[in-house]
Amino acid sequence: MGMGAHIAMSTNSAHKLLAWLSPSYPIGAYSYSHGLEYAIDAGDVHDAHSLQIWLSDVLQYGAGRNDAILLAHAYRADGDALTELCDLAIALSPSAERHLETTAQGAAFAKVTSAITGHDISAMPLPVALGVAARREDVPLNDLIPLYLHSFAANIIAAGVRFIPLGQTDGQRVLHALFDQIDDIAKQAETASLDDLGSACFWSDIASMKHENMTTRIFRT
Amino acid sequence: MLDQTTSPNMQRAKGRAHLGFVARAGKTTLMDLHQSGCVKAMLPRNHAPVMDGVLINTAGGVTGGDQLQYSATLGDDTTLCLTTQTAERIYQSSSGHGTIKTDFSVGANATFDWIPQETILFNQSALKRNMTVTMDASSSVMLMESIVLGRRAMGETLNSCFLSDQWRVMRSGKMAYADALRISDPNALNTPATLGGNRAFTTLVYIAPDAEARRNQMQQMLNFDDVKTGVSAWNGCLVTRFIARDAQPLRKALIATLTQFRNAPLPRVWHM
Repeated sequence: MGMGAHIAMSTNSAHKLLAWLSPSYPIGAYSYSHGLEYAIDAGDVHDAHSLQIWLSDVLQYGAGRNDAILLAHAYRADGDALTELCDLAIALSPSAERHLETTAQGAAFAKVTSAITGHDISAMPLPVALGVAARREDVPLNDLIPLYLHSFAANIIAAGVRFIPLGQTDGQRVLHALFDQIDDIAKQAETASLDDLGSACFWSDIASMKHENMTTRIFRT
Repeated sequence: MLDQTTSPNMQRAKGRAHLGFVARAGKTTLMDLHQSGCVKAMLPRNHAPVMDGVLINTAGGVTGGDQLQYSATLGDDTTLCLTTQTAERIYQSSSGHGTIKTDFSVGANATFDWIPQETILFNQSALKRNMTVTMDASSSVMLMESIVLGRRAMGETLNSCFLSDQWRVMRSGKMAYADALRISDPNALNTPATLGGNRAFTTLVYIAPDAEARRNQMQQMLNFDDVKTGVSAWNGCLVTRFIARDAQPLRKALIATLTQFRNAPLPRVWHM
């Protein structure tokens, strides 16, 4: 196999990724909106077009890209390096709710995946737990990263469909429009260093803070 | 060497300042002072109970290749408020990026506030900034950074710049807070999730035993017509974020918030 050649995903790996990243994998993904519920309430996101722009930014300049970089590093990390990566991923949370979003889902993912695979995966923030599980289960990194971003986007879109509200088909249209961008982000993240981490989604971070103060909330974040 | 890529004649600013303090008979005392190159440190008399330190970049700004280093060591039971003399201007870079490295070490039962004035990014500027803080869990630390993208009041628009700002805070050996800010394309900051066309923003972090208990106090102070804010507290950190159209309203909001929250006037350089 030549350098840089894309290893075709085996059906076995595809099964695992579909299961782990499915909304039915019991980590409670549907209960987190990543601050979108507040952004909808504030009028920043009000239709399919504004949802697509919001998501495109969160993927490119926010948690999407950062999670992708953390995931790639988790895939390679062991021992102390893995512990440090976990600490960094947790410490990077921009608000109490985003801290909950990554740690609670990560802990649930580790618990369920350990029970199924027999590997002992300890509670780690979600992208780190996924990276560790994928390596232990021989799931290729270059499939894992774009499909993780896909599921991350799909989950926020599902929140938008429920709360904006938006037609199911419109929601799928938004997701499809993000595929190319997701692939680009994933490719860059594979070789990015931890110095490349960084967000410019300042208002999205504030939205996740303001969500704490909403009196009626459907989502946990 | 014919193939070297940097000219040896390029003028690059380098500077370093280090301040070390200990508590002596209940009073914070300067024990160690090092300054070199374009960076100076001052401890102006302020007649206040808390000592102010002021860092000065005499080069008047930062451009590609410049290297600034600021550091301070605070012993047990010391108290210091450290700021910068003026806004730091990051100018057009002809090659490479400027670097600013900031390291603080804070002992037990110490109180340290790092409240520099804003950093202004000019067109085609490039800066990598790293701040590391090592603190004891019994101490109180306030950290702040404000970024202004161009000077709108002067009719300037920012078309390209690069900023990476990395904070890492270790609290009694465990990473307590990290911040990673990255601006690779200022034109992408007009959308709602980013800055919505606003041009000035601040991250203010307070890490202390009473940080979470003071969340509501902070929340009640944040009431500005022209500055958007958010506050959240978790794991011993109180994080407040500000977004404003331009530097002036942001500065006003920061002065009001910091004066009230710290229950002390800001160092005089903030009012000059």
